[in-house]
Amino acid sequence: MVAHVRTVCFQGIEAVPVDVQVHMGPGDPKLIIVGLGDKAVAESKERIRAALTASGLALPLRRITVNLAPADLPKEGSHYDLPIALGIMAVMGAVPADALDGLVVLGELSLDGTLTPVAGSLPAAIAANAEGRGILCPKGCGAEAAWADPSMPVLAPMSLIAIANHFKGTQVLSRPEPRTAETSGALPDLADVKGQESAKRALEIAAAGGHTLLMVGPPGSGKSMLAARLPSLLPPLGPRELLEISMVASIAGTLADGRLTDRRPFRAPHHSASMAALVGGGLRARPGEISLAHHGVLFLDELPEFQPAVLDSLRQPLESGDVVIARANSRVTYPARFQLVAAMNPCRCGMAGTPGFSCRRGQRCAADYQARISGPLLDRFDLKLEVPAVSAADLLMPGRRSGEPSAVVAARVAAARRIQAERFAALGRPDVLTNTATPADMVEAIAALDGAALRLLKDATEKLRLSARGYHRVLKVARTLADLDAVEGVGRIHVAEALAYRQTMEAAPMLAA
Amino acid sequence: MTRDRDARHAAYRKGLRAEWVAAWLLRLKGFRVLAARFKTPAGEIDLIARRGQLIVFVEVKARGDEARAVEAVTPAAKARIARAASLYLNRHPRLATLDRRFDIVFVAPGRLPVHRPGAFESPLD
Repeated sequence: MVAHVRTVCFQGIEAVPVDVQVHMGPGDPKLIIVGLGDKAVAESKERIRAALTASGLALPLRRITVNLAPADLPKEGSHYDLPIALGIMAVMGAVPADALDGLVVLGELSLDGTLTPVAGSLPAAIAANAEGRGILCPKGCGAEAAWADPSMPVLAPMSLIAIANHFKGTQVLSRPEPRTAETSGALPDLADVKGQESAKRALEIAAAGGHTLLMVGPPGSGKSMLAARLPSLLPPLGPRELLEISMVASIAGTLADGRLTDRRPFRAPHHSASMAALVGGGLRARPGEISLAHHGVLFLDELPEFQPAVLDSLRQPLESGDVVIARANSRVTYPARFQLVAAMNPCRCGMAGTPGFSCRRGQRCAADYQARISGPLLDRFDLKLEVPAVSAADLLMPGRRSGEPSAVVAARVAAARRIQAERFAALGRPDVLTNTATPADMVEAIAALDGAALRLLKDATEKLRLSARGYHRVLKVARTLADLDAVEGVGRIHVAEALAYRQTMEAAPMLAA
Repeated sequence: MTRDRDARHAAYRKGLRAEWVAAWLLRLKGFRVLAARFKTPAGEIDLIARRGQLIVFVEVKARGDEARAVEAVTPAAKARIARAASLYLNRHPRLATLDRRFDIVFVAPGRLPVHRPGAFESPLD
């Protein structure tokens, strides 16, 4: 007598199918779970026993063997409670065995027989849908799982008894509705920032092309304030992007109440962050900040205060758009196409470069401070700009909100992004959405320069000793600038402006001099 | 010496009487007693009874205080009973497919006997 229940095991954001086999046979009454489960799986025995008793069922006086197949794949987490309990109920005849055939089951049991929400129900639902199955998950996960597909069956009961009643037909469960989180309050608006017109322009370019941005300026010049306003310029998430970031959030267990939001993530980890916190890892190879910032913004304030090794670990994901976390016992890939925005002071005392100020330690002050960031990482910033202290005249401007509101800028950004998406779709790469993600072999195709622009870039490349990556990044920024102007070809002015953002970076060590 | 033997004899008779009471309690509950004082090299089972698809192995305890009686069934005693039970089932293969249960019956003088179905589980694998 063997019952089969389908569940999943998570490897990164992928859900690998797991077959729960329950066998009941003669022997001393015992419940044995095999199949490389972790401690949470071993303890599920006690939860299942209590939950079945609370639901009015006693474990049969026979030997019950549960196998989680494939048996050599390590299983982690508490979501195996429900599939095991249902397998036992099926083998006892408390639920019809064929009722579970077309379902993927996951959920944790509490001792009173109710179901506790678990992480990862969205990836599980997507995997179930791909196999043409429905999903059975706790009530608290129903709204999340319902996002996978509007037509797939989703059962989200409160308790074990509700499941039995549903299969008996006495109390049929209805499909939960996918919910979106209400956008909580307005985002900070760009019009709040007084002055800093060039910084606002750079912010707009960064938003339009998804470019990386580094702001250097004295304390109190508004770097953090500007970065906090970047989300208000970014277009809302597309359906596919939304699904991708929700999968990561589901694995990390950060989807509040199963509600998805179309706001782009904005992650601002403190500079004490460890490498595992930023890149991902730990015992269960959890997603890190860069994966939680997928399709959104990763803002690193006080960049040189981060540990150098942690910063340099960002280099690879910045190029590839995903991160492979390899450990002795697991190897998982998380998506990590994030937009890096960083802010820093020019030197330890923070005032280097400000007119009428000289560091106590002289030029060494700025040089030592900036040397904490490695050249290869600096090379990966498309836009670098100085954010000078705000002048008293700008600050004193009475009550008038100086610049454009975010909505106006966001409309231009959205138009530029639309042009980019259409161009990549026409070139047969609909998965690429921004200029910054252009594959290397397509850079020259998308940014066709005219004669004057080509000459300028050639001269600049020699004079500034641009790296090959730097050269490509200049082209990508120039392409974004042309998109913002809604013109087909990339002209001399676009290249010139792109080079200007590059140049400040090359000159950075001399900045304080 | 004589007194010691008398005391042991009294305890033995008390045990016999308790088993007799327990056996009748099970019969009243519809069980058929298959064996009493079943002795094996691994240990002894006080009563073995069957009802339908269920076979029970019963440990009888003649103690006044139920809490103390529970303590009297030590893990070693449970293992002994479980081993003896599997030996019994080996000798009676036709019974091996029945549901198995380990019960305790407490018998105290001047009180009704108490039956604890499924009082413990087999500590063996």
